[in-house]
Amino acid sequence: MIVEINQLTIQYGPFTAVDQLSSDWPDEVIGLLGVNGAGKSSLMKGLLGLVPFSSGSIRIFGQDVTSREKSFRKHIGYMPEEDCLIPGFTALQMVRYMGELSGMQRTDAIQRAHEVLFAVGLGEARYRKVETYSTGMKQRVKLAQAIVHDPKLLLLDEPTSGMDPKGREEMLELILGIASNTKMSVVMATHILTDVERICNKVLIMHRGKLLKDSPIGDFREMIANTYRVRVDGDRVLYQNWLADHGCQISFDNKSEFDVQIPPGSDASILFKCGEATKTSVRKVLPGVQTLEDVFVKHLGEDYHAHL
Amino acid sequence: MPIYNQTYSSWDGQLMANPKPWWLIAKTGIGKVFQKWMIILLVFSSFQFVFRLFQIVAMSYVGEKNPFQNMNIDLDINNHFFNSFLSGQGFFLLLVILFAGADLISRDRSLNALPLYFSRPVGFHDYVLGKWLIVAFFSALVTLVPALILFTVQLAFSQNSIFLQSYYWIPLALLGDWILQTLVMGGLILALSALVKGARSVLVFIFLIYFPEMIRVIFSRIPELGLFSIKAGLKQAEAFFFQEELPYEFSVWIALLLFLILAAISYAILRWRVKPVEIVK
Repeated sequence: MIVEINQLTIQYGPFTAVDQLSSDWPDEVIGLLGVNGAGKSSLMKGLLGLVPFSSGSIRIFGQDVTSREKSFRKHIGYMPEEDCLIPGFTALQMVRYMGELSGMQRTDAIQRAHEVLFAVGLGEARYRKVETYSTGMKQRVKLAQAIVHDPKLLLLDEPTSGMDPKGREEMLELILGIASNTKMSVVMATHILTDVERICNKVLIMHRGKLLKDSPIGDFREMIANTYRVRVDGDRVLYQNWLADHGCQISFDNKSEFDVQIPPGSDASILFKCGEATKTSVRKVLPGVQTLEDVFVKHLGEDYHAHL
Repeated sequence: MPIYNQTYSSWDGQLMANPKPWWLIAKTGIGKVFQKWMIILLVFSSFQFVFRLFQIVAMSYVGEKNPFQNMNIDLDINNHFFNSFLSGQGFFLLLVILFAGADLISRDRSLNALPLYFSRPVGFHDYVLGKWLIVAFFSALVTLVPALILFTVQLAFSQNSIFLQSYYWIPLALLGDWILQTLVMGGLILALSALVKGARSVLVFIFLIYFPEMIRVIFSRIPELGLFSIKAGLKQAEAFFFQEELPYEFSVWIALLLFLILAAISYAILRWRVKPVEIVK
């Protein structure tokens, strides 16, 4: 295991950001999923030993992160969520400096800074002061400084935050490339479900500092693929009962629409068969789960509301 | 154009076993500060140095036949010479410390650079020592280094060993004075830089240096007030280091103790403000 978290609690005054969390992370691409304020960023900072623990422990590469010895950080790349820049530096200087701070020789750091800046698409802009960069460029330079020393573990905190759809797509491609073509373990914290689905092969769902779910991405994919949002005209209770009798789950219901999770082995045609059988008009069928909250509802059911 | 035009490749080099981040922070910071107006300041501050150099060379030629002796002008190269040289550099030292130190930490804080530093194997002491060394380097450039050069030149131009026998301790006095000045003023500017934003830290620094001094001058009948003036305290310590008559009527030891307390307060402020993550409770 690369990361071993044992009964970790992080508190900021009376507020508990991470609550009795235990988890062991193997060498793979892990998605840390949760709404804003779920405790993802606090956990990320905890992994680096940047915030004090109220209780519990984290070991990375077998080393306790709260010990005075900080050498384990040489092997970690961290891309923070917030804008973080070294003032007065060009991108090249900043990335080189970060490489040197991680323990690279100066000549290696210079050469490597050029390489990673080209890799993240800032080759042409690498001699510009980082303060003049756009939001998307700042995200890229943050990624570049995180990977310059080729860490064993890469921590990405909301890597696509603030990026336009095209930039976001490119950033995900880049992370996917790093994750699949190198030996680097990647942990990505995000509140965007599709980002996790795209990159990760293991997902941890956090809510209010607690770990709600820890499963392979396959579980989520199946759920997303077999869920539809439906609107009908006619007797919707009869329609829903018919579906329930045929193994479907109705998990979200408001006055006009509801979500239907179809059991394995069936497909969307069951929704139309149901319409025929119950003499109900199917007005709308949309695939996929749209929001993270939907995922929570589906995973926790009634318990979700208890967590709120 | 895609985000990358060169794919990511792994690096198979070796990371240093014991990197010295404080040294890297200091080295990089010194390079950055040199890009400011520092060069101009250093040029102006060197005028006195050139004059003093001329004095040393001239006195070595004149020897015992000092033509100004009857005019009560002291041109001898002795402990007073070095003390007055440092006093003359005092204004430039203040400017250099302000220029070099005022935004060293405040800019890192405002652009949120601290998480980047502390996500590396960089500790609080590495960071603060690196920043302090930047201030120390520039303060040495206007005080310690020129004074040591003057001392060396005087040694080279001495006709005999009398100067060395009498004033062999001057390099130690120079070093002690530099350490004290940098510890007190350097620590203070770094603490202010961590506490308030760049321009404001300059104002607070000037206020802390000059306001108590003004009070001391106005109420000169109460000599103990001098203890609260950083300027007076440093002057008193300087006179003590150079074995000169103390200019003020307060204990130099109490002044040194107060400086120690001031340095401890600066350290405590740095401990409080220099954190990788700002925790709002």
